[in-house]
Amino acid sequence: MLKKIKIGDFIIAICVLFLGFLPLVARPNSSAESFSIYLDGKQIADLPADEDTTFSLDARLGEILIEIKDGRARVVESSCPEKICVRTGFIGKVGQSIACVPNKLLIVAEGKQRRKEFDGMLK
Amino acid sequence: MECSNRKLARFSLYLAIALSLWVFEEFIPRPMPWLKPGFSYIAILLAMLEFDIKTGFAVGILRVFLGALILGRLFSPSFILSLSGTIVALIVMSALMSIRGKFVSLIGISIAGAFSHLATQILVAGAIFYRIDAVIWLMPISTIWAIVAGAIVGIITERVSLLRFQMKNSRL
Repeated sequence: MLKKIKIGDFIIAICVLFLGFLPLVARPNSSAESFSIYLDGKQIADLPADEDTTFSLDARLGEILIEIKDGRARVVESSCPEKICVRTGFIGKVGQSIACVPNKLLIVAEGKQRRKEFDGMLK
Repeated sequence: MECSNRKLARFSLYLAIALSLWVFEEFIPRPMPWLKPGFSYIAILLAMLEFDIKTGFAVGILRVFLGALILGRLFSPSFILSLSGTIVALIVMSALMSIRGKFVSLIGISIAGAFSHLATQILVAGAIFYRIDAVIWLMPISTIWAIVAGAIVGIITERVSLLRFQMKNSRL
């Protein structure tokens, strides 16, 4: 039976392997391109991800220090009691966000990748 | 295309076999829900061999519709994935059928078809239902599975087509 396998079959199998593993090296880019900052529900800034900056905002409870570095953003210092926003650390991919609820602050990473309506789907 | 009762009967049998195999595949244990062995393609390839490419297409596409009808998935997301995968797989397999002969056997055709089916499903799922950069991680496992399952389906189809050739010679 196995003598039915021909040389072309192996070539096809190799091509399939190559095509199948190609996406691992040529992946669609999901790094953030810009960060939108919302305070009290209104967008107050839209900063590009490629410029390293550090700045502070005046929020409900006091000052918030935000840093953008190496294409990622984080909250350095915050005037909120729990400091969950600080502990979130860096965000760098499209769709990620940092929120400081007491200060009503929201930082969202935006980019070319369209964010879909569902997060997931079960059959 | 010979329009005879005999052809209609044989076509229906191929479609029935493809359908039963597809429904059976839904209920056997699988490593992942979408990693199916693709046994329906045995019937589809045999229909392509016995009649023509058009008939193979008919068996494949009707199998998607009727199979979705049987399992209650008509026009659901999984139906759309199944249909797109089957159409692309049929196109790829019919294109390779023309060079089938000394260098390419049904096994290579089957592997290419299996890979096209799975890859198209992943791409359509990424484009329409979810994010392409998340879904793309399914490609490596699906590729390995496609090569193995495609080889198995190809070997089975080769064997069955041998039997058919012997039977055909004995006027059946």
